[in-house]
Amino acid sequence: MSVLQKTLSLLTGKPVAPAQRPLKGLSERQLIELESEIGRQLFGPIPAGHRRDFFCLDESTWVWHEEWIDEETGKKRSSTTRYEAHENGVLKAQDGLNYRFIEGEELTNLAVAVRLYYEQVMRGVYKRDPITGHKLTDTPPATI
Amino acid sequence: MPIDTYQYQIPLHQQNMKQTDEFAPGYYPHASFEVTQQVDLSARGIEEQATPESVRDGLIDLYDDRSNLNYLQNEATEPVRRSEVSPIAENKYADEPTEEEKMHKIVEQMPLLEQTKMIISTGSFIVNIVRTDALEMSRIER
Repeated sequence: MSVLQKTLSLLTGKPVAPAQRPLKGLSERQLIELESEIGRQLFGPIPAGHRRDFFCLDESTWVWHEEWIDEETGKKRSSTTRYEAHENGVLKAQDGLNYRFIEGEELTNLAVAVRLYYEQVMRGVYKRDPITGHKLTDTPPATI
Repeated sequence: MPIDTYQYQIPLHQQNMKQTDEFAPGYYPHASFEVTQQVDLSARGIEEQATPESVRDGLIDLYDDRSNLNYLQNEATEPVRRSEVSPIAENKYADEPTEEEKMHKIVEQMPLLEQTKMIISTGSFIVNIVRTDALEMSRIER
């Protein structure tokens, strides 16, 4: 939604009509990017100069990717963390580090993030009720 | 204050079906949604603060969601059988706890660690199903 559309909506009090079939023609990668726009906001403010992505890659993998410019060297740095859900726990795989099962606060935080991601992506991207899984209609019903 | 309401739709296969015992493979029940009722969505959802308690509650919700969304996976792989969705079948043994009640009991008795792990695996499972469904619908429409 453009700034102009938002302004008009605020001035007139009328919601902006959503685009028809907004997901039509999108690839899986594009859907994941849409999801990640929500996912990257779940962990608080992103530091200036950083780029963050957090998304569900497949039915058992969550990815956290962060890029930033190293202030000392001026070079681009990045870090990718993969969380894999296994029957016996959640495995964390980070660039160059040993695999390990996460526990304690890290595990709880990830679970909270996953739940928030799920709820917001279901509503925001797929227009589904996260509780029932049913599709939400684009326009609210008429009221008296 | 106006209530923030949306319409939501019940897939055809969750309505009381009498005409057939199972759908033919490849049939997409959500293509024939009907608007049936309104629900208030403002009382729940993304605004709530996440706490360990809400994480536990969320796991139960996710289990429910997983059950509700199973049709998305079923329709792609196998027909949905009437016995899985018929209200008549669900109420056949009224004195016994329902599958949902049994699941709630199991989740409540799980250690927090197990619950947390389950949230993560179930969350990714459902997101993946919904994403796959969106891609499939997009492909069909093209």
